[in-house]
Amino acid sequence: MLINEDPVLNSAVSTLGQSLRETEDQLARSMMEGGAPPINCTSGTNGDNPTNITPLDCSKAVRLLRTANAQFIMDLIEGELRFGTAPVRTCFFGLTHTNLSADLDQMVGFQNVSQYSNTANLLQSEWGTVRNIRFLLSSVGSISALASALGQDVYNIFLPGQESYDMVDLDGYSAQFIYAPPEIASPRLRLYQTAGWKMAQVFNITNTSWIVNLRCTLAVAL
Amino acid sequence: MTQITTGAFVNVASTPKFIPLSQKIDLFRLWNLTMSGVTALGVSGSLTSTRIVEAIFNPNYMSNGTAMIRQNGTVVGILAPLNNGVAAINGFTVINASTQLPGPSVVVNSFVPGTTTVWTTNTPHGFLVGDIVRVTSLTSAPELGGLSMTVTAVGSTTTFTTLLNSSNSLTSVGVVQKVGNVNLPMRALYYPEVRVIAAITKANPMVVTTLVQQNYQVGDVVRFAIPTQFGMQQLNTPNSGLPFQATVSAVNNAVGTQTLTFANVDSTNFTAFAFPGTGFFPTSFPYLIPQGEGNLNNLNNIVPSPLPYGNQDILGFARQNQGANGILIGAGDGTNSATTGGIIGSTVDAWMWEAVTSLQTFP
Repeated sequence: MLINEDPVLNSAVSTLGQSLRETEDQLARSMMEGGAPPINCTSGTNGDNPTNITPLDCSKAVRLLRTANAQFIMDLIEGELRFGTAPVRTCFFGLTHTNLSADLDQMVGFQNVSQYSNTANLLQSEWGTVRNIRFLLSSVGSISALASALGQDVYNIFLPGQESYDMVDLDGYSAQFIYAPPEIASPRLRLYQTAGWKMAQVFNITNTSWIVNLRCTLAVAL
Repeated sequence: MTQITTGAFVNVASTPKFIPLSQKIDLFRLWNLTMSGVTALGVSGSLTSTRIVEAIFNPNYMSNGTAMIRQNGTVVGILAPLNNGVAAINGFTVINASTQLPGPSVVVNSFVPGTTTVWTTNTPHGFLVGDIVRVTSLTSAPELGGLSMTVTAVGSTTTFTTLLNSSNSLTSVGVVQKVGNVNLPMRALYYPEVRVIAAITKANPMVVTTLVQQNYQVGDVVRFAIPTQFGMQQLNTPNSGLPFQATVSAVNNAVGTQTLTFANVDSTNFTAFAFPGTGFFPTSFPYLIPQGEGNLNNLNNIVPSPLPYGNQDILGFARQNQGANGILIGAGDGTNSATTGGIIGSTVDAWMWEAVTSLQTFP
C-alpha cells in the first residue's frame, strides 16, 4: 500500500482542528447545562412551560444578573448616521442553538446584526440583539430533548457575565496536535502515519450568580 | 494503534453491568468464570448447565442489544459441551453517555396526589428503581409538566412512585418517559440537568430533598433559586446580590431518601416550602445550585474518598465530569432465551472481559 502523505495530512489537520474546537464547545456547553442556574421563560404565549422567549423574559434574566453584580461582556455600540440602524446596548452574550433563530426574528424589538449601527468586530455566529443580550447561535447549542411541560424540546440560552466561567488546563495540555510520521507510527515497513489531538482541560463555573440558563421552547415550529 | 484493554468484575444478581471505556470498541469479549467452573474474585467456580459462558460483540457488524454467545450444554462430570448461538435480547450495547435519548413515551392514566406521588400508566412502563423519568403533557396538572424524578419504588408493571409532593395538584392523564437509566451514567456530564427540590424542612439543621438522586457531597457549597410561589424566600439571593450560601454537612444519596443536610442553616422560622399546585403555570422550578467546593478533596466514584493527601488541587464537585462512554452488558436469566434471556443471570458470578480497538478494520 502506498500513501500520499501531504494531501492526507492537510485534510486530517483541518478535520482534527474542527473536531477539537467542537469538542471544547460541547464540553463547555455540558458544564453550563449542569451548573448554570435555570430559569424558565414564562411570558410567552405558546402555552408551554417554559414558554417561547419574549423580550420581557430577557429583561428578567438580565435583571437577575445585574442584581448579582455580573458585568456585561460587550460594550455599547454607539449610534451612527446610517439609515436603518440603531445603537446596541451593553450586553451579555446569549449562547444558544440555531433553531431559535426564527423565534428571535419574531420578537418585537429584535435587532438583527445587519441593523447594528457599527458592524465592526461582529462574531460569525452572532444573530442579533434584544434588550441587553446579543445572541450567538450554534448548531451544537444546548437542547434538553422533550423536556417541556408539553413534551417539547427545551432550548437552553446561557447568559454568562464576565468571569463567570473559565477553563482549567494542565500545563502543556490545553490542546496538542500530535503527528507521528511513518518512521514512528509504523517503523518496520513505514507504511502508516498518524495524526491526532489531545487535551486535558476542564471548564468551570467560577460564580453561579454571574451566569443564567434561560430556558425556552419554540413558538415557530421546526 | 491496536489497543487491548482487559478487566474483571463480579456482577450484581439480575442487574446489567456498565463498563466505562474511553477507547473506541471494535471487539468485546466476555467470559463467565464462575459458570465455567473457575474460582476467581472470591466467587467459587460452579460449572453449570445452560448458562452463557462466553459472549462476543462487534459493534461494526452487530446490532446493539445482541451478542454472539457460547452457552454450556448439559454438564457431565467436570466438562460441559458448548453450544453456539445468538443472544437476541439483553446482549451488549455500546453507550455514548452524552447522546442518550429519552425512552419511549408511556401514557399516564392518573396519579394520586400526595406527599409522595404514585403514578399509574396505561401500559407496562418497564422502569426500574433508580431510573429517572420525566412527566409531560399533564393536562390537568400542567404545573408539574417537565419535572424529572427518580423512581423510588415500582409497585407493579403499571405503577411507580416518586418523591414529588403533589398534594396541591389535581390528578391528570399525561405522558412519562425514561430519561435516566439507573445502570448507566447520566446524560448530563456534570449534574442531572433538572435538579428540582422536592422538599425543605423547617428545622435545625435544615434538610433538603431532591426529586432526582443527586451527587452532592459533604463540603459542597450550594445556593438556592426558589420562585416566589414555592415559599421559603429566605433561601434566595437577596437584593444585595450576595447569595445565601450553605455548606452540605451530610448527604444521603440512597434512592428514595435523596437528602442533603445543612448543619449551618436553621430554617425553623422560615416560611414553609411547598409545590404551589393548580393554577401556578407557567413558572420556574426550585433548584439547588452548585456554588463552591469545600476543601475535602472529594471526587465522586474515586476511591479513597476523600483523598488521603490534604490540600492538593483537584477538579471535583461541579467540575468533575461524570460522563462516560462504554459498554452495557444486559441481564436476564443468563441464557439466550428469546423472551427471558440475557448475558448476566440471577446468580452472582465472576467475569473477565477484553475490549479491542483495531488499528485497521477490513473491509
